[in-house]
Amino acid sequence: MHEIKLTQNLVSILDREVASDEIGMVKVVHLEVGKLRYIVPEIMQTAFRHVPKHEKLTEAKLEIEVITGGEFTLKGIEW
Amino acid sequence: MAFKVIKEDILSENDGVASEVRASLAQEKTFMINLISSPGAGKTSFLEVIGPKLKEEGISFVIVTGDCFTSRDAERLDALDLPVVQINTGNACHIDAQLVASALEDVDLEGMDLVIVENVGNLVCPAEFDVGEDVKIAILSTTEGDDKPIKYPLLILESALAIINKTDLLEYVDYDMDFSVENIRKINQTIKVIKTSCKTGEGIDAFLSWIKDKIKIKKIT
Ligand SMILES: Nc1nc2c(ncn2[C@@H]2O[C@H](COP(=O)(O)OP(=O)(O)O)[C@@H](O)[C@H]2O)c(=O)[nH]1
Ligand SMILES: [Mg+2]
Repeated sequence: MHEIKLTQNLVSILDREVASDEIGMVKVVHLEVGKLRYIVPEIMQTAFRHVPKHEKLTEAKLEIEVITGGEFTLKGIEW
Repeated sequence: MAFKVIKEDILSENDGVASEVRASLAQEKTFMINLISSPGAGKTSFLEVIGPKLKEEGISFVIVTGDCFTSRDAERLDALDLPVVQINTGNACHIDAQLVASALEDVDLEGMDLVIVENVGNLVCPAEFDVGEDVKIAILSTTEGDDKPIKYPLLILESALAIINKTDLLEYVDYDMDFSVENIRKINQTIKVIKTSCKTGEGIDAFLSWIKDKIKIKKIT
């Protein structure tokens, strides 16, 4: 359930980042998520497809790496 | 392809608001607890028991209670004349810092000893969202099975106190108390464990002395 809220938070960071002119259509968003977060990557992907976001993000895919611990970090973007 | 390294915590926005809440509570030296449990473990019942006792002790407090669609919890607390602010969380599975910040806007924190947040019943999401509290308290209960600490380790890891409620029902349920406590300690070596019953009153005094200490320490720091 919390994937939706977390995706909204992710998108608000991304919207800010992609506003810069040097960044084109984003292809991949790299995330690192700790096991303790109980994130289901598939639900996160679905949520990401559906939340309103910057047009540079509409074709982006999430690349979610599951790690140990409780961190949840946006690592970077590829375009 | 071009790459930009970002490295930002997904919860940075929430954590920023939580820091603001924490700062305004620090100014008034108000202690805040965030009660987290599964639905029905006894959060509201616990408040119904400790609320009047806190009043007797002259401790000033306010309860912020989150409810998805109803105001049943707030009504139960209000019936006991306990100070309560209700937050409607709608579909959200947790209370976030912004909801608490808005709820506290209407509260005069001057001279307030304690803010109690009754989170939405859920062992997963509330553990992730800092709302500006000093401590999270996990309320477990004997009716939900002794394996919940190992199934939901983040909550145990994040909590300073684990309450195991409904001890009056121990004889009717297969709840291995030693197994449960052992697992709690394996996950978090510094957590305090208090066993309570809202029916018999077991453990309530232990909780009251714990919370009074915390309030006192907050006042002098
Ligand atoms: N036997 C027993 N029942 C309890 C105890 N604490 C709560 N309950 C019952 O558990 C149910 C759920 O309690 P409630 O306080 O609404 O849980 P909440 O959803 O966590 O707020 C109610 O029927 C309570 O009467 C307890 O210590 N012993
Ligand atoms: Mg309740």
